[in-house]
Amino acid sequence: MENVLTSEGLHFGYHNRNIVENFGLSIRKGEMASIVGPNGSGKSTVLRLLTRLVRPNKGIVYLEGEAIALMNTKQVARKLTMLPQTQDPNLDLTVRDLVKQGRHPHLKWYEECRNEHEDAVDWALQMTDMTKLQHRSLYTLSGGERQRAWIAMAVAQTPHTLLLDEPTTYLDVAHQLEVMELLQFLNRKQGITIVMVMHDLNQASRYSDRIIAMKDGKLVSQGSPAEVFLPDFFSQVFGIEANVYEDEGKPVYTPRGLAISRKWEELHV
Amino acid sequence: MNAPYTNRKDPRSKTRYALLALFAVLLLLSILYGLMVGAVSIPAKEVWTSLINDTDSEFRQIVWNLRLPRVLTGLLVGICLAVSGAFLQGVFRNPLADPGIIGVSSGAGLAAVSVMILFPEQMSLVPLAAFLGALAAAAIIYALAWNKGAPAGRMILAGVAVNSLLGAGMTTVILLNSEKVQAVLPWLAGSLNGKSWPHFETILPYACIGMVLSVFLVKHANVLILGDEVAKLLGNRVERSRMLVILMSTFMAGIAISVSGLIGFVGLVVPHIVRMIAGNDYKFFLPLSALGGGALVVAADTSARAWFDPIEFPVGVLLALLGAPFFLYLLRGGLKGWKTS
Repeated sequence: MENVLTSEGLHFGYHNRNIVENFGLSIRKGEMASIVGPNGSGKSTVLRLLTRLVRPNKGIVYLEGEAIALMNTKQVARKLTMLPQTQDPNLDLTVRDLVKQGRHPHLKWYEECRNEHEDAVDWALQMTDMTKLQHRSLYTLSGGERQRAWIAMAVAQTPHTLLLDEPTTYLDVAHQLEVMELLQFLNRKQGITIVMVMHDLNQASRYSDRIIAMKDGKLVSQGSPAEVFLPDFFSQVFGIEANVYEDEGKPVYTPRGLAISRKWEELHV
Repeated sequence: MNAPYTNRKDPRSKTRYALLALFAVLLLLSILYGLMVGAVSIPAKEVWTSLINDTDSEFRQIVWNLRLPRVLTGLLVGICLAVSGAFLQGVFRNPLADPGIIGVSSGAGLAAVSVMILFPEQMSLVPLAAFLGALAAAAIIYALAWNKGAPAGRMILAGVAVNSLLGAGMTTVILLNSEKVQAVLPWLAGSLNGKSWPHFETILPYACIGMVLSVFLVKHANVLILGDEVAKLLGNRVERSRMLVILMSTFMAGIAISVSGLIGFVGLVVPHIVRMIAGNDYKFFLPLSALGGGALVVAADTSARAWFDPIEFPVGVLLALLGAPFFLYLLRGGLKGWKTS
């Protein structure tokens, strides 16, 4: 299968601290992949390297076969975009005005968002079920609606590949599922390749074709959820004891406790 | 992409166009107020006849030669300051950003005060010195903040440091020449006293260039308010856009300060109030700020000379005296339904 996003030997760090080390990855066209790993394992940095928000100290990222570092900014933005983890919640912009910004990379410097670009905005609003809310100001929306509005902006950008940094953080469980199902729909029906950093491993298991696990800046294992989510994986990567079950063909885990239980009593004498 | 037709029209756009019309009317009223009021009150009808008829009447003298150039200069000063502030609040994503933060006031202040005190025979150079001082201070701050990019936070910090340094320099120049302080005080306070046609004609072309070029920055400003990362992901060359917007803000504020001295409050308050009413979209935010800034400076300057007659009170001081409490009132939610961000 065709690779849309590939990285080779990525290194990134400040001073002597390595945040990402020798990171190689190939994202296949049309897949939905989750990057998982403990806090500080370099997941978000990898997304930033893949989207050229930060430049690696060493290594190359290829976007659809071209070295991303040499591409022009608008060209990149027409093929690939990312939804960062947090956005300004106080913006007084309507949903539609926000989604219109998604057309930015498709407009020449003198062009306005009109005609076929407005059609793309309508389409993105419809895909994300935001049409009814299109004239509401962002700060009046609930967290889940706001997240969908930002996803709608990314959809209006008509990227081939969409990266998301913890798209469900801060949402209640129903809104988490809403976002995940929206992403699945965009992936399955619109053919958008999706790479996301996930904290909820059960959701990652349920919605991803592939799990990419990181620890200490390195890729430690990857494969289908069933291949990766084994009891040993939880103790080695997250340092927890977990029971792993199968539910509708996908692995599901419940944590039993820390792998090496800390002796809190001794710390507090 | 055949989405069914949806109602694309923002229901708020009517309100926004109404606001534009309202602000334009306010501006016209403030201009009329500026032409009518003063040591001699002139009724509106007489103002009109003396504007359109080139006669030798006393009213014509007052309206055409004294009040109109001062009102129009104030108008341009207000527009430039408000546009500058509106842009800066967007690129810094900080409601406290104003032309002072990029060193415009302190740079212009040091340069202008130095000329006024050290080379008093070269008074005609003050506007140019102020303008160049503003540009130089902004350039220094930008350069100091630069390290593979000049993010907003670092520019604000560099701005604070450079401002206090330049401010100290200005204070030193003033203290060492305390006998000449009287000459610089009106300039420091921000005043439109004695502005006449040459002043207006000097800044008009620059202000027009600035306003026209500002239109092209609307799109960039609208992307920058979404944050650096999002703007980059949307394919915007963020550092270049931010530099252009800062350059434009410096240019506009420099124009205003060169002619009026340090009028500080307009660039902070007008955009802030406009955003509370009309939201963040620069397509409305910018023209509304421009109209509001013009109207505010003209009205305030007229009040400053009318209320304290025969003393010519500096408009900058009046703006701060009246503007600050009003601004606080708004911040405390004085007008129901207004959001403060």
